[in-house]
Amino acid sequence: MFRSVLRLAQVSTRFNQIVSAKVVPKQAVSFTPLSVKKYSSSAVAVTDEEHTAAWISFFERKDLDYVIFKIGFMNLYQEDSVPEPAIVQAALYACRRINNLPLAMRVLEMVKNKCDDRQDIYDYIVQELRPSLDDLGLKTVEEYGLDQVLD
Amino acid sequence: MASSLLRVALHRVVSHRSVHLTKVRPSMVIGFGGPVQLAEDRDPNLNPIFHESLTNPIPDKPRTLKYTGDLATLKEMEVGDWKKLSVEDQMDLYNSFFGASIADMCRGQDDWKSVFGACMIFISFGLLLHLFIHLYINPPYVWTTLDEDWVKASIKRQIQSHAGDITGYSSKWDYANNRWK
Repeated sequence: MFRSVLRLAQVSTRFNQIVSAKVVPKQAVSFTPLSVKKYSSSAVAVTDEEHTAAWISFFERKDLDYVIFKIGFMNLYQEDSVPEPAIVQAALYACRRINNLPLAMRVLEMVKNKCDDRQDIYDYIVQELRPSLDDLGLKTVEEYGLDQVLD
Repeated sequence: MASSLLRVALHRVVSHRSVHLTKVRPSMVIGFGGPVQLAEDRDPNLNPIFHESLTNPIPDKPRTLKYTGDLATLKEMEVGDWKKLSVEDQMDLYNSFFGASIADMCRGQDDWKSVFGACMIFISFGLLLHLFIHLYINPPYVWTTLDEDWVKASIKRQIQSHAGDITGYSSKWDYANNRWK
């Protein structure tokens, strides 16, 4: 819990490193998709902090590209929990690293969809993500008008 | 199906969101079950196998494969600071990458109203036909089983076959003396 708060506090220094990053040429990598799940057996007990840290380290991979991001984020989306704001922040910065703005907007939409009818959870996530959104130049789903249905 | 696709495509044009650069929604037109598109009519810059849904919210490839014109400049700005992009620019990039928002995918359809209306039309036609045949074509119903002779004969048969010998007619018949109890 507090680790995620500390991570959010590191927002301002992060962006300067990202803007100056160069495009990494694609290489053949052996990719083991990450899917951190908590099993009911006590033999493999993953704490919340380890779970969050594992997901953040996934989105901070040096060789992250669109395909790997898609696989990882779909795994995260299919978990039976709403992702921590720190994980969503890591995902948004990963989108920034691969220079994909629509993907970041889609990430925000999917997080909102994941919250379903729990407006309090979504408000909390948006509140925690507000500094990152301002830093990246993103807006929330409501401000884009993406939550409104045509017709 | 095609009418609903066209309706969504048209609404995209007139929506309050800025779509001044990308007017048509090929994701709604191309795909399984959609209308057939000739090769010369298909826009070569667009992905012909683009598919997104609630189960596949992040498509494998974007909807637009090659950016031209204003979108090309936006794509170059995407590499830089996103704060320099206005909300309209960001929405243009979004509409060029995706076909519909998640809210669009989640909303229900009102096709059931058309189907229900058509079913009611056919059902009412059948019922009217039934009524017409009953009133004007069939001979009037004759309730023979309510004649006095018929009822008496049926009671006599019940008594003869000992039907209803606990609570029915046979229980009230005195078999020894051949008369009602």
